[in-house]
Amino acid sequence: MPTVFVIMRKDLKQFVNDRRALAMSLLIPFFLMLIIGGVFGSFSNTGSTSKIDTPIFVEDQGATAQQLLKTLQQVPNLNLEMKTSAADARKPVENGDRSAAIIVPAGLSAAVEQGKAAMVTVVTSPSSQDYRALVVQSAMDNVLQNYTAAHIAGQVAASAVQANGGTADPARVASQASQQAAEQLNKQPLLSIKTQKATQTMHDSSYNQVVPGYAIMFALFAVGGGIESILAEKEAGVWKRLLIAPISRWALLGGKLLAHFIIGVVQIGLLFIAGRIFFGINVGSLPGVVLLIIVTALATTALGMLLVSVVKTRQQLQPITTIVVLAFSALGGSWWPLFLMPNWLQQVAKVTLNGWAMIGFNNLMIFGKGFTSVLPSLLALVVYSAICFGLAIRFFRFQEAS
Amino acid sequence: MIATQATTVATSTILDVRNLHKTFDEHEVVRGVSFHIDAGEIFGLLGPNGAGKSTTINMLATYLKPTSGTATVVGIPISETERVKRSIGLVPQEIALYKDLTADENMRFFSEVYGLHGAVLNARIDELLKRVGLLDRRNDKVDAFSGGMQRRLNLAAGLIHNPPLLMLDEPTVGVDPQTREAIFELAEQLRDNGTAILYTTHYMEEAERLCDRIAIIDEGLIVTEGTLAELLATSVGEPITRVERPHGLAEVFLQLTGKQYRD
Repeated sequence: MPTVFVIMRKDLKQFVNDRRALAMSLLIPFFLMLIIGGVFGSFSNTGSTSKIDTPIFVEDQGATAQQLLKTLQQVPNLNLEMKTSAADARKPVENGDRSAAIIVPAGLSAAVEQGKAAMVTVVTSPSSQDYRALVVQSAMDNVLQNYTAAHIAGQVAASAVQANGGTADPARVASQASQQAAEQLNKQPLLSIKTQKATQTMHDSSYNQVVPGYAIMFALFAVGGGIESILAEKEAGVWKRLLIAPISRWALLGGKLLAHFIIGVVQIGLLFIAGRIFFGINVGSLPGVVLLIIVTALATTALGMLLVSVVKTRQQLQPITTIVVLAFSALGGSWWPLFLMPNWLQQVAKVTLNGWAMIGFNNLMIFGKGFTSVLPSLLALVVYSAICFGLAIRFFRFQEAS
Repeated sequence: MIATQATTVATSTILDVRNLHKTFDEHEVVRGVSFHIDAGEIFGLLGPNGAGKSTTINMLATYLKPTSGTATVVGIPISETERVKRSIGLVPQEIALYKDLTADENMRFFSEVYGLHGAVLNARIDELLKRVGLLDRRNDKVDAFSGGMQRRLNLAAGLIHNPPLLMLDEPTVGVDPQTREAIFELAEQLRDNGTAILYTTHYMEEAERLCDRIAIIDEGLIVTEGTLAELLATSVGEPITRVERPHGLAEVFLQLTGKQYRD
């Protein structure tokens, strides 16, 4: 066999034997495809996962309003949520939980019957990034245009029949109807959309999303690399040297975790300061942001500790860290705003620490909410940390049985 | 067994090991090891790979818990881990140092771990770095050191708290003759100052040169123990036809433990 093939065969064999290389080249891209495909696939126009939850309040009980509701219910992209008042319909949009709401006002049907113009209100998220609001607007617009066209066609046909009695020439009637319909359509539309931005304060600079998102992602990478030092110390024998020294095992582990927690706080904190200085990010409630940074660093440390507890070597840890960090970042809203993700993915995001942290940061930095809006995130991240630390202590091996 | 095993422990005994056992998953790795080391004595524990040397050392260093048996260091049972740890120094086979820190930072860290501080700490670090020839390199990172320098610093870090019992686990692996000689001299100085040293090595000439008494361990049991002269003078099975040194102890070793691979 030529030497080139001998070398090639040896290198291929080494690659196949190297689980880390296999994980990096196959597993990680596969998981990312799965996650990102899940996120963007959900925004397509087909499939049950593409439905956009849309609150709707139909105040008018007339025929036109009910016909519009019926047609809207058949729009495949929309999942209508019936509300009992205009305020109820607006609230989820103002809270950032929904992208758009539809309000069909009282008197709409009567106006249409009298040939007067009427409007349907679409309340949208103030975010210019939220294209789901545009989807709702577009769907509503289509429904109104179709209804208007059908209404005009019906009126024209009726007047043609009335004018010509039962002897109308179909070709002549069609020509007249087209002319009248065109004239009607060129006038002020019978039904149209009135778009209102939700009244919430919105800071939709992309840096308000990118800075916390990437700070958390790289805090996870940093803690993964830092906690790896425990495994490095085990492999180098330093860990053994420390274990036989007169210090408590928990002091040893606690000292390491404390160091990585401080590194996490400083890292995220400095990135926020840089974000404020260079990108003008909106911090909102300073105590809220500071507390969120602290508990996020705590949770990243706890997660890193858990990862170290379930693997034996650095070679095992590195691909696992990469997979976890990228998956958590994609799912948890580090790469794109959580509120742009489908509702089911927003629920999945809560499995990740990024998800809870980003809910809090988005509330403060994008939606301009107050300190109390981050309390659920703070509590969830503390619980998250406790669970990770608890599991880590359960599985952590101070020494290998050898 | 050649030498009479100490059934009564002399007042100068630093380490007294009695009937130590260790089992991993029903596999008994150490099967009743007993020996003692007096103050000012270098005791060689030799054995093929997998014979139970490291497991024995790990138990004595409190890193592993014995399945049964006892051992005391300066009269303190090893089961009282927190008390006994201050009396034990271990220099592991690995370079157990932080390579991204300087020699001084490493020494300072391990000193503080053992509770040293202030002037005592500074004096001790200076003394040890001088003894291993690294005083003028104290501010260099360990990464920049040669293998021999790293070995010497590894040894110094094990001595930081001046333990009465020092365990040197293959301390001369991969070092040049100069560093090996320096390690020998340091071990001899420590012995002369009253430190008890447990020394493991695969180099028979080291054991011949350094050890006051030698035990050969195989398959978890000590198969012979005594001074070099006692080991060379006695045969197990067929008589040992020793021709010339330094191969003498190696012949004894191979005759007792066989020539088949053990790992």
